[in-house]
Amino acid sequence: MKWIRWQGLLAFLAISAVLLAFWFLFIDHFIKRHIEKAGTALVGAKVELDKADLTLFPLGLTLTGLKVTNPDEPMKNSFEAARISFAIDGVDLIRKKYIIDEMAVEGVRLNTERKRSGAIGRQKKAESPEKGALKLLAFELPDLKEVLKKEKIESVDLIKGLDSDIRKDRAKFEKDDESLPDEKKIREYRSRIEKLKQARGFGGVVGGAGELLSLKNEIQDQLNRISVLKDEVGAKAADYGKRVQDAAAAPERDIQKIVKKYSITPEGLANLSGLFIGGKLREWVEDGLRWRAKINRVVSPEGAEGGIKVQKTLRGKGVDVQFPEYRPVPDFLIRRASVSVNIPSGDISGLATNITGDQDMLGSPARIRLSGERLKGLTSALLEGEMNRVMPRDPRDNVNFTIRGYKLHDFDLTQTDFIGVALKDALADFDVRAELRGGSIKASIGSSVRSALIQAAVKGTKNEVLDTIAAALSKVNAFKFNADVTGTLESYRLSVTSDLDRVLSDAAGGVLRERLAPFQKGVQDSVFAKTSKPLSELNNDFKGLLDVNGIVSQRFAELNKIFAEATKGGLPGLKLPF
Amino acid sequence: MIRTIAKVLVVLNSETEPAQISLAVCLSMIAGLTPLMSLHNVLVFFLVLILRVNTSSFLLGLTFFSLIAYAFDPFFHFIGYHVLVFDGLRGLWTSLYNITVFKLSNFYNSIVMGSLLFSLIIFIPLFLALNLGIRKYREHILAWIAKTPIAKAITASKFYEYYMSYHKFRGRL
Repeated sequence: MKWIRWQGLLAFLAISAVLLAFWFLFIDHFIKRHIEKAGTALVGAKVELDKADLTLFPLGLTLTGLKVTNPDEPMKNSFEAARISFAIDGVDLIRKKYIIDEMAVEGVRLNTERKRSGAIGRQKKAESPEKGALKLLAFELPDLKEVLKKEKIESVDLIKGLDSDIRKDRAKFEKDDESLPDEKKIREYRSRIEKLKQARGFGGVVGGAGELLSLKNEIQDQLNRISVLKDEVGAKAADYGKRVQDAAAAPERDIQKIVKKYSITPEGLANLSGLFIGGKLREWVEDGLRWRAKINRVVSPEGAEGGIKVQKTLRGKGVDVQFPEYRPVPDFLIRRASVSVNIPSGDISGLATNITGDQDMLGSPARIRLSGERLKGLTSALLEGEMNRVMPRDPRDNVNFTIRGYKLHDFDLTQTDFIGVALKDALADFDVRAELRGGSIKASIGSSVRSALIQAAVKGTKNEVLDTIAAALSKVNAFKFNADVTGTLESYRLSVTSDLDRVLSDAAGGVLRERLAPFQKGVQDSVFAKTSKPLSELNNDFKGLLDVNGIVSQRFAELNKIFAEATKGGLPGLKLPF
Repeated sequence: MIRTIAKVLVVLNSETEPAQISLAVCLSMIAGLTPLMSLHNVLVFFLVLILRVNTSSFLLGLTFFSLIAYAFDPFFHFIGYHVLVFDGLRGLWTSLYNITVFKLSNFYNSIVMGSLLFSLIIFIPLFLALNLGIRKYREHILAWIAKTPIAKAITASKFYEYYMSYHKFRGRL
């Protein structure tokens, strides 16, 4: 039988040619679908592409009409790029290395409107604490009785618990004290020493020395026992002293906690600007961190397992074990991408360099620098950023963003159900400095707003506090603010200071304080009524413990004195050899 | 699919060399158990087309092995991963990893490595077992069926005679 079927060779060539033609005809569509799918998974909202065009000579790709939906506002695109084009190294591509020396990203536009929602079922964002605090300004204070019924006064349990501990220890120490030499016993020791001092004659002296030695040993034993008790009581008294002080302050903490929960505290009153500006700033920070997390997935290296780099792939597809390369080259690298961003004021352009997930291999961090000058309604803008993963265990990100003379128009500072504050017109300078290291963030956002026309309108029912605030804000035509962000990426603290604080506090502080005073006093009275008796009992019991401590210390001092007398030698002319 | 199964039954019952059927099934096992879009499968398809193996058996085998491959993936991953991270072979894998053609073969994927290794190991035993099985089938079962009164009645009928003439005529075309 003949084993070779020569017509099979022709069939193989024909099938290969058909597949190649099929690939060539549909590859653009496959690339488009792949980018849309991968982009959507990365961003968490729809990523769409009008067209992908692969060229073979030279090998390169051009993407047209890339639209990336803003996951938080699905009716808007975070950015659009009119055209992205790049050439790719063919030899490296065969080795599964995507090396792009030059990339051009043209016609980038930010925050553009979408015709259809680009949501893919994201969860709704949590309400910012600033919006929650604004509610407190708007609503009447809740019924005090209801509040007190609902809120647990933790200080009562704390005080009672501590009192119970002190009582137990005090009883124990008193019991221990009973087994130790009392006043009577100490007097007895003293009288025995006195007697021995008066001993005369050789027999008296020799007999007295023996008795003195035995007495001294007895006192030494008692002294050791009392010393242990003294140390124990002293340590407990010191510890309880601190805890009693803390318990005494606990009712005040409860009061502050309740007042803070249901109303604006005096500290909050001094920082009202944070309520109006903080929400917007928090949105910016959240947006920044979200985008940073997405970019981080591109520039961060894959994990390692068992000394060999293991790249996790989709479930059911196994894992790719990566071995050392003789000539290490990043799997993916854009050496240089020129970016041109089209904003309403004009064009901002710049460069992004070394975009790769293998910075440790490349030895350089990913950087971006975008700038624009003398634009329409914007004097200058400069963005400089660096994502450093050269040492993957010590990731560092830096962003500096400076804007000068930015003309704001209809810019919402806050929009809630109770009040809306917007900058109808203003000129603003912004300085943003942020540093992320490991899991921590340290950032400052400074701004100076001038020539401002603030539009503040109270919504819904009339509210004295909000009306006063709205009126005060409407009169402001220039202000500055500075925000500091510190903490971890998961839980950071945003603190805002502004010269608006003084304006708002002067205007609304009086009204707020007036509203707050009866509520605060009611909470105070109730908490003190519940805690004063347990606190008084606690103080008495602690005083009792201190008395025990005093008695034990006094006994120790007296006994020590007697021991010194016994050691010095009670008999005239005779020095004890110990 | 039914047409392919029928063709395989015809081939089994014909005088086609058992080795042609067995080799087709063994090659389909490699292509079916390993991820289809792997470089080594180009070679498998080339062999299927250039060697005089039974293509119907190959197609049926490919369907069968592709279906059961999903159930075996964890097992292939286990084998492949341990082979790839085995210290004694690290030098070999590193050398292959640095050769472009091997890099394209995805050998460093645990499932590709596991399934390919498994297929290659059982290739020859399966080939020999299938050869033996087909021979035994033809000797015993087919001979027994041919002796049954129904089979005798069918083969003796005019209709069967016409059908066989048509079949031979079609085969020549």
